[in-house]
Amino acid sequence: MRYLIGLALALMLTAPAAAQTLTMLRNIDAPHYDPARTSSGATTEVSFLIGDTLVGLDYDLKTVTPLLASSWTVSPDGKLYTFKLRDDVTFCSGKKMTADDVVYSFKRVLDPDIRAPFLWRMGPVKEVRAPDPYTVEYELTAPYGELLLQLTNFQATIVNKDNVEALGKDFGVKGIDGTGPFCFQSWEPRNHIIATRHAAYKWGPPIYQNRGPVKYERLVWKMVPEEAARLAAMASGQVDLTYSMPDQYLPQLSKMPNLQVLRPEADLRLFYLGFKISRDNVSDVRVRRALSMAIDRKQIVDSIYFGNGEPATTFVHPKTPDFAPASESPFNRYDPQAAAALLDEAGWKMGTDGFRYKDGNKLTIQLYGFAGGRSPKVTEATQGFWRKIGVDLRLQMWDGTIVFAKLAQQDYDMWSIAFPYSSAGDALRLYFHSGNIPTPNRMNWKDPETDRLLDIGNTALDPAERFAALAQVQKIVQDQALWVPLVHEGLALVVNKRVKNIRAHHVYTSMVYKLLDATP
Amino acid sequence: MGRHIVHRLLILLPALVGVLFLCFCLLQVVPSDPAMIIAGPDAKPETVAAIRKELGLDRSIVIQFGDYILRVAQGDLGRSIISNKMVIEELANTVGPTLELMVGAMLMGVPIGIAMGTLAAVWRGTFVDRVIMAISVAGVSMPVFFIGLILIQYVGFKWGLLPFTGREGPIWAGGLPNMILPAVTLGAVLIGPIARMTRTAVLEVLGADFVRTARAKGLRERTVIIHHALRNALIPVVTLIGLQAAFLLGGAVVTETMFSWPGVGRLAVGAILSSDFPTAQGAIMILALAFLLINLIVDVIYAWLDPRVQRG
Repeated sequence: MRYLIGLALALMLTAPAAAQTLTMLRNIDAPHYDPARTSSGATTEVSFLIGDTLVGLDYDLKTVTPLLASSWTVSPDGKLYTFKLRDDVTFCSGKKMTADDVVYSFKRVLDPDIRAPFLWRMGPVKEVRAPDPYTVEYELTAPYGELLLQLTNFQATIVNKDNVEALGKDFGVKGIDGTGPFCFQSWEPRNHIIATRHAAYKWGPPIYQNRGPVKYERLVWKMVPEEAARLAAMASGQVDLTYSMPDQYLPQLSKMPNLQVLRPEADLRLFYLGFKISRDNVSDVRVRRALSMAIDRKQIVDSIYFGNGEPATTFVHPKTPDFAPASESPFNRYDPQAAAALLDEAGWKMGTDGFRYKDGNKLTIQLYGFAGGRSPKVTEATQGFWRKIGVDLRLQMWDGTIVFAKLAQQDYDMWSIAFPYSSAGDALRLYFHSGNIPTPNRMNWKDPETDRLLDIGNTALDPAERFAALAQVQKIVQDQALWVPLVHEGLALVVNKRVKNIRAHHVYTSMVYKLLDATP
Repeated sequence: MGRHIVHRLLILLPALVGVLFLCFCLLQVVPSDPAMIIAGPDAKPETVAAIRKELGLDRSIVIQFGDYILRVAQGDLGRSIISNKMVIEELANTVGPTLELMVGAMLMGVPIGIAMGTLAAVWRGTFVDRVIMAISVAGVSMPVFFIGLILIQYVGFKWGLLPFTGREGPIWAGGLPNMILPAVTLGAVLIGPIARMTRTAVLEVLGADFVRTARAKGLRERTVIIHHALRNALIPVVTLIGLQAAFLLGGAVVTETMFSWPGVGRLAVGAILSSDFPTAQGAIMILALAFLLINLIVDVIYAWLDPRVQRG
């Protein structure tokens, strides 16, 4: 009897603590959690929760809000951004955050030795300086209209200078001292990360009703690589939320009484097929347009994505900053008859074997892709659609360890990939500027007009001027059918209903962002 | 006996270097490029080349291997080229959970296997024998991942009896419930072969003279079976257990992935998939070392049980 009473008391004592712990499931762990040294999506959400950026991002993925900087001004020539920092921000260690830490964090990303993959997001920096402890001046060599938007991304997380220097190579591995709503407690690689509430936190972005501290005492990320185990853990209520759930389970999970499936306002992640336009078989724009018209994107979304996405007829999602509706190409709409007619016009005539030929050459296309995720299924569906119009698509899927090396060799006519972005300018500049040939401009698209317009879009002080330039770029590259946009890939946040007041975000694929309103 | 152990230990060293060299060559043959993985999909070729140079991957394989072996001899396994973590620390953190899982699996699988095999031998040809043999054949035939999925689905999810996502710490610090399902999954692999081997060995011994003598002395049947027959029948079973323990290392990779167990197996798989050569080499070295040591222990036990082996 005494044991029973003891057990009951122990359960009573532990129950509230369990309720104060939020457990998130992830399919993979990140190699490390140093926000400057990675482009890994697995680092994103951890960085946003244990650290902060100078400026925050609203749910609309367009509006920049105050965060560590309470206000900012931009000089008339667009080259000098002056940020006024909050004076009440502390790191988890208790150290007060000052402009020195901000300058140090930015210089760290800019340091060539760090090899920050997202260095380009920081713009053409001339100097970052701290005229006083709560002011940061960010000076550029040329205007960069998207600077604020790019500074909301996790590579611009402010870190504690003393902590980085003390940990050296172990920074982001053995610890990371941030100003975020949670404090990094421990990390057991491939098992879990444990973070605790940052009690002093009160500087959350204004998109939250609760500006801090968070309402959970602990946050635990569990890494569960096995799909079935993740599904069972969510369904049985062993964990609170995840967005690492395969598409096919989402319809089933959304019907469960204890779960809800939340979606962000926009899905800024595109799955596309790219053309290497220097190849003879795809150098004719009519062929590229025909191939794009021959694919029924809705069927792909319904049957492969199980509805977790939208058919893509544009290179960026309609809710993307600087998206140009007028740029939409009619060639991205499903019309197999018109596609066949266009191939006829381009001289590719149907042979007796059901394939098209021109000057004795068969219309064969070699496509490289990643052997994991949705890529094999989507490209196999494409193979089927193109077979109907007489095109022989040959697929070569590569393992994740070698796919980028193989893509770099460029021995293909096409490739498939999915990528996240923050704005139209961000996506277009990276992939279509001739300065980025051969990677990531794998199309080898070299067009002085595109470069000129991208440069205008990049440096324009007036948002209308930027939009006009980027709209023209969207028109050009879509009209030239340099890519076959297929699906705006969806993200779904699966949450146990015991977690209240939670809304899906999508800041660079992190769906939970700061978690400030979430309530047990 | 001492000389025998020293002799075996001396053979172990070149075997380990051989494994390391083979593994190094295999990792070189794989057409992956860690520099490309570190740099990310959008990196320019010059960035990738700079990272490759920084990591020393632009040097010849022979120089890279020589450099590696020299460092390993000094106890320096290097740092992960992907995460910057010290490989030795990664291994120290993962060996414990794998060992825990293996011991748990053996504690579960070995007694059940021996008990089932003995019962099947004692009731040879009866319904009990057929049921036990059917179970052991199923155990041998069913892959680890299938057993794991069934346990997750029923014990973990439908009945909600045990957790199945990750390790919550050492077993003495509240981690026991999390260990049960992975240990049972891995242990299930042992039951079949051990039961079959025990059955055969016990049957053989039951017909021996000393068992007839024991019975003739008027000992109870239970005493005859447990103290006389089983004890002598265990010699080949011990050998089998040793060999199976080594093979458990292979099963551990799958079990660790299914149950999110942070052991050496997952470390090795993750490192190989991300072309993290130093970590992959370290993990494979530990697995190879464990395999060699288990074999050594089996050899020693065998020699102790049957002195003719030493003389041979």
